[in-house]
Amino acid sequence: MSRLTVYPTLDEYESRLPDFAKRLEVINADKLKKMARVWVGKDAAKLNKDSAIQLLKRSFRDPKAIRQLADNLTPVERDGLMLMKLRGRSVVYTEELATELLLLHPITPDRKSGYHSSGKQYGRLNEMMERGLLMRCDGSNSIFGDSHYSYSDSCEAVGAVADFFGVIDLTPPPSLSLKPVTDVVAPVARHTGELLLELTSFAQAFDRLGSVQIIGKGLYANPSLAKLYKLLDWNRQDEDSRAPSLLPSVEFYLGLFLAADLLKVDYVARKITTNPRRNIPLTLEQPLTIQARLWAQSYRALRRWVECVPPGVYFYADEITGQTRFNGLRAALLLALGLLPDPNQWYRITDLSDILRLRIGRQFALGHVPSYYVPWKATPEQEAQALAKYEKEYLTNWQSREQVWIEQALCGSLFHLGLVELASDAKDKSGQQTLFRLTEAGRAALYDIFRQPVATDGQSSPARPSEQACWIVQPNFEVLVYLDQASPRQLGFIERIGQRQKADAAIVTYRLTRESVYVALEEGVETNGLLQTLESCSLHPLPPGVSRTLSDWAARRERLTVRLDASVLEFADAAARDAALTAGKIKGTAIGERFLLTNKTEQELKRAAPFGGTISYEPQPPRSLIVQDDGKILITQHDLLIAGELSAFAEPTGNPMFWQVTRASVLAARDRGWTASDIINRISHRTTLAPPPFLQYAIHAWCGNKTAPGPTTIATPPLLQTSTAEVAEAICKCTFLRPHLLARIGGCAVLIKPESVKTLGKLLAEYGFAIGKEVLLPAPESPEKKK
Amino acid sequence: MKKSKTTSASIAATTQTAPLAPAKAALPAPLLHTHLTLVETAEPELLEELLADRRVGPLLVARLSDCVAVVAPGNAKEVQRWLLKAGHTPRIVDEKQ
Repeated sequence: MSRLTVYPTLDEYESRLPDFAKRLEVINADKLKKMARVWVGKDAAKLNKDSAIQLLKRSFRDPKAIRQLADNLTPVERDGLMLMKLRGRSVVYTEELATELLLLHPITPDRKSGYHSSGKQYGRLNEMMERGLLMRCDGSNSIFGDSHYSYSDSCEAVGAVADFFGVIDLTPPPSLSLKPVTDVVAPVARHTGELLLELTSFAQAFDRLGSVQIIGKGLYANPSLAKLYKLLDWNRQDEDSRAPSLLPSVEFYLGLFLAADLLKVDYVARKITTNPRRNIPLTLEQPLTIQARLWAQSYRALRRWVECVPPGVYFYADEITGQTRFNGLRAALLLALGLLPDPNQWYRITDLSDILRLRIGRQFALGHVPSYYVPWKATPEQEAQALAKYEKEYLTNWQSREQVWIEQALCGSLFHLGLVELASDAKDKSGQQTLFRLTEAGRAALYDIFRQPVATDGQSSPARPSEQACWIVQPNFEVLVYLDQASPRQLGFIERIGQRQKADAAIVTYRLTRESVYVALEEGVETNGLLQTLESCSLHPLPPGVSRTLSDWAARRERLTVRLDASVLEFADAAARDAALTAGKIKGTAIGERFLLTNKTEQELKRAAPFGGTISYEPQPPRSLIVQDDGKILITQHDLLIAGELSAFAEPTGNPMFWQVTRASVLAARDRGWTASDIINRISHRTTLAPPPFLQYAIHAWCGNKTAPGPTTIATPPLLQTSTAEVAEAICKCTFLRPHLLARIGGCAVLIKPESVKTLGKLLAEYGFAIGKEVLLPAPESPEKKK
Repeated sequence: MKKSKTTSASIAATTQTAPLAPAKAALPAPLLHTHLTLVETAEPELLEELLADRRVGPLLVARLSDCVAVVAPGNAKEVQRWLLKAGHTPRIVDEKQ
């Protein structure tokens, strides 16, 4: 039984949404009335269970009721549905929505029940579930955080019970109260081209690798990772899951592409492959402002990779789990970046961390959320003291865990994805990067989404921005690419046809080689397109030598074709083939005198014309040989290849159905590089039974193998045979007979010294043994005994 | 498929050179050979060159025409690898795609 847990993608959750209406039957009347109240207001109190169910079922499908519902929604509900609309999906990851709602609508701790926090981060989400607007995707009707171990009843995704998106407007939530910083020094921004280059090169490296294996625990298999790192020429980080993750990292990009649905996990084959329903090159050719939204969403849902694991935070580094609190905090951080007062201003990372702490920190933490209970019978002073102690612990915990993570997320992954730029505060003498600001891509992906909604899936194809010349092709086949001028499409093209030599923030150098051009042509780049694009994007005309050589390379490829999985129709003669072609019953390309390369199936051919049958050569060609001890080979069934295969190590005879393995044929094969094992394997591949052992030894011997069959001797020492093994045993143990014996061979036979034949015979006769001269053969088994 | 009933006793021990062209069988109707790997060259000389190659030659077990040969079953990958190693840049066509 596989331990691999399947974690569906949002696409899969969406396509397999449970029927929420059916699940109403098992909900009690009070809860149903509460749900009905959302739709019909106070009239819900008059409903019984059945009528409430009928009302809800009707309402889920009634566009008019859904429109009316918009007036009855609470701000939490409206925001919750708006956050789902922003994602463009009727399902959302639980951790993400729960934390985002908490950020928009913080819950004030209730002092009477203490600052107990178990499962409270789901508070706002549960409100929506109790009001019947959302339901869990796992079929359960319980709310989140209901049990003591909140993870034990976790469900990765929740879905909306009806199509609310038409009645929900996108309105930016109130901005966070953050103070901008004006004294900024040494701002650093990631070069757009650098990021695009990494995304493109990762996609192409994955394409070349074909797939990435996953192990039983759902993690990426090390050999696949190593191959990808090698293909990309990236440095692999030491295996310390708690240390901050260095970028670029294959694990990060694999997670990102998986979360973006560009790759998919095949849980049966235990490998990750390209998602055939997505077009990676098209996605990567989008302008970065459009791509950024996809990458931001994917980063939020990223699995199998974390920015860092702060001390005191428990993380299953050795096993893939569903969405975790890291995803929740990423969602809150990204939403907070969308709620900055001014997207063009610089802000302190610590200020952003404080805002997050104040809004979500009482209920949410990456690790343990400290709880506070009012001490029993405490005086007001003691109570204040206990509260102060709790507050101190709470603040320290946040600063050493969540704040560390937030700094790492901003300075690491979000900077790397080009969503934020970093700078130092002029007043801070340490020179550390403590300030951040949204980049243009960050603004488009995080801030503008509430204001200027755009297509969500990154697959749409807006007008392609005009491209400018961005590289220089040198006579030595080096191509210098200016990253600031290169479009995503141009980067994808050059990455495909050239071998990257070196890259810095501004210029990347590629070399056009016969191999790289060949791989590009094999991947579908057209020869004309290759030359045209190379020319049109070049700042100078292509050197004549380069274009001539590229054309030569392309033409050279046309000289030789390997056709895989081909079907060939064999006719009796050229006339029969040509007649079939002329009649138009069979289509294909004529090969030689009497063959036809066809792409028709067996069924199609059967319908078209008289048909003699099919011989398949893969995965196993016909086993049509009978091989005898003496090396004679009989072909029992004609096929296209058997004669050619036999000719490598056997000699033909007058009859085409018979061949002979001889010393000469084996020696000739050996001279051509065949080994005895090669010959035996080739014969075995075509016979039903293994080749006779004697012939196998002969082939080994002819090939000069010293150990098999090994030395043999034909000698004539006298043999003493007895009727039973016991008699032979007695003779062998006899002290005065033993000097005349050589060796015992088998139970009833002993070799004796030639010079002792007479002496031994006399001795045995003297002791009463009857000595004969005939060889004692074992009696044949009777038929009854056989039975 | 009709099977021959000839016994080993009738095998004649001749030593003629084995032809690479497949034997002509009496075919009352066309026979379909599937899942084959073919090597096709633009000129016959190139195929001769490949057949004479110590590494690729033994893996080409039947010649259908001056320019087309069949790869021994199970050796398609190896032939591709050797061709690339030998400096050829073959166009790979998957006929089933």
